[in-house]
Amino acid sequence: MAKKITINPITRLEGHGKIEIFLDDEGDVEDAYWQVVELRGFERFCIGRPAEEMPRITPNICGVCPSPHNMASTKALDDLYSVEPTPAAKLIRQLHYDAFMVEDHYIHFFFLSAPDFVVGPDADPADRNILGVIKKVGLEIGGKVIEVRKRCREIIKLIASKPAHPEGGLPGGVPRGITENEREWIKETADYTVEFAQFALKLFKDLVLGNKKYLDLVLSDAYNLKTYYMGLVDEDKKLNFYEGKLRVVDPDGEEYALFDPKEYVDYIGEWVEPWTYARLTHLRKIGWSGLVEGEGTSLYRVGPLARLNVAEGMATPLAQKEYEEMYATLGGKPAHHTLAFHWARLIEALQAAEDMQRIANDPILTSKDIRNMDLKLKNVGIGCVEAARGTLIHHYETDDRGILTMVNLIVATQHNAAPICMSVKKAATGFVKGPEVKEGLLNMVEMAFRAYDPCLACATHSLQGEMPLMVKIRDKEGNIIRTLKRP
Amino acid sequence: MRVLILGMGNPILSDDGVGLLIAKEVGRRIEGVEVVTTTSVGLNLLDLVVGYDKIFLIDALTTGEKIIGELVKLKGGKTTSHLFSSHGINFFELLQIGKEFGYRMPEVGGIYGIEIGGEVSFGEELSLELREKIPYIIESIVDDITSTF
Repeated sequence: MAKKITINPITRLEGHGKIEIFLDDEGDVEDAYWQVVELRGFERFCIGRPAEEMPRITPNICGVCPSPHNMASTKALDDLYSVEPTPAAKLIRQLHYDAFMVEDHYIHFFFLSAPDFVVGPDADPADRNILGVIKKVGLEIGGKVIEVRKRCREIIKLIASKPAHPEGGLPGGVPRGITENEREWIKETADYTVEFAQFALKLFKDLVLGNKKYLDLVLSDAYNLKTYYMGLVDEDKKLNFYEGKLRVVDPDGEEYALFDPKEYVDYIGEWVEPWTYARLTHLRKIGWSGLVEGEGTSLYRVGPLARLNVAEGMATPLAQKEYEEMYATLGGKPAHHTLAFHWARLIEALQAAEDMQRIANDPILTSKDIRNMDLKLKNVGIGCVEAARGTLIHHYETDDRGILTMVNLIVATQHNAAPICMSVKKAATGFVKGPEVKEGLLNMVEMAFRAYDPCLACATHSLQGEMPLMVKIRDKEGNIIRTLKRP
Repeated sequence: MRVLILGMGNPILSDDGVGLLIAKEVGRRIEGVEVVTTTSVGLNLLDLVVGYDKIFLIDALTTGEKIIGELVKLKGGKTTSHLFSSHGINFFELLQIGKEFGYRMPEVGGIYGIEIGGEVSFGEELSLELREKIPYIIESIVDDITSTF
């Protein structure tokens, strides 16, 4: 039996999961698996309920990405009731969604990623947190993060009643409109957010790209994985969070597929492996080919870097400039550098902020025509948005009264589950050898994982508390020979 | 003095939501306190707790090592289900960050954890085993909080 190192659970990560790294007799990494604890029964919990309840129920699946669930669910209801939202309603939804994307991306960057890059991957874990980041970048910058988040949450609250767990979500529209008075402070928030987004990118470039050690890490083979990519694009094939077609590019960046999300079952296969409860997605037409990268893989990735890889550009001018700079630095498209997810995240936040400006200045925003009541129930509804972490699909089927008979959700972490295992394996191969494990090295493995910003609660429908980091090292008979723990 | 009783948990995860129910009931029995219930975690709690002088937290506990319904008043370093289930920040870091940014952050009067076992499942009702202990849990928390005033 191979030696086994268990990292349980991943620190600074939502939900409860663990990584198991199997070493061979020589102490080299043989395999790595990311395991999740599943809480079954969400679909069963929903069956028998009116479909209209879903935009209210699904945000409670997890505490991290409630708005994407709310929005995918609302869009599934649009489809279920064969109705298009009015132009004003669509703008209001997009404003809500942009505000969420900004807030979520900055929480991830400053609270989860920045400790690794700003404080340093080898730093004492006691300092490698947001307090360490504030110590390094200063209280003023920290205050700006809190302020931009607060302002974006006020927009979400205005539109969807509760920022953390939005309640609004109606087929064909939105529950409330926007007044001219509200437009004014929305405009101010949008301007403030664009300014902050540019500042955040400058900070990233100064602190990360300006540090050769970190840049080498971003470009290193340990954090490189050649897969397909998937994400929504608009009709010009520019990046879109809210609507469009799903585009898939192959590991060389060539278009492999472009399809309506309603046809997802023809393109996305779900596979079950004995070592994980998560259903592993892959490109159905290629077929499950296991945990392999490059030629012959059927795995694809979703999320910020994937979206930039599938798009032919950003939808807004400032973000487009940043997009061009990123690919020039990374050596062209597609970029397979897993740690570049963080960079892509900041570019996306800029696009979301610029889009908020566009919406805030659109005359239609304050129209009172916010609901299309021409509803025709058709028994099947599929909604798709780009969650902060990647493509999110809600698929509902109902009887003739609109009562749910089938519910299927495909969440971002599920798309990324198999690539996460491979990223962890590659990082471990570079940084872990034998039973001698140093804290800094373990964090390198965690960094591979964190780049995806996986939300275990969502993939597994589980909400569990964070616990201390625990590392178990087993000998070849499977006996624990060493346990490392950090509080 | 503004006192907040914060109930935490998920209302669609059966026993996981016990903190929500208990907080509301405790709030009804103590005059002059405010009650907030939330499914949020991490930084999202900031908006809820700023401006209070004292806070009491009520949440589920999933050690799997205690009897279902056992009430524990947690001491420093120990945590309940949702205090550390954050998107990069735990409740105690949140209090510290809030103070650094100059917000009026509350003093923690008590953290009450209610054991619900190691596993939870989807549902809107509490398990029978836990339900039977609710009156005792409410009474104990009310007595403890009022004894601190």
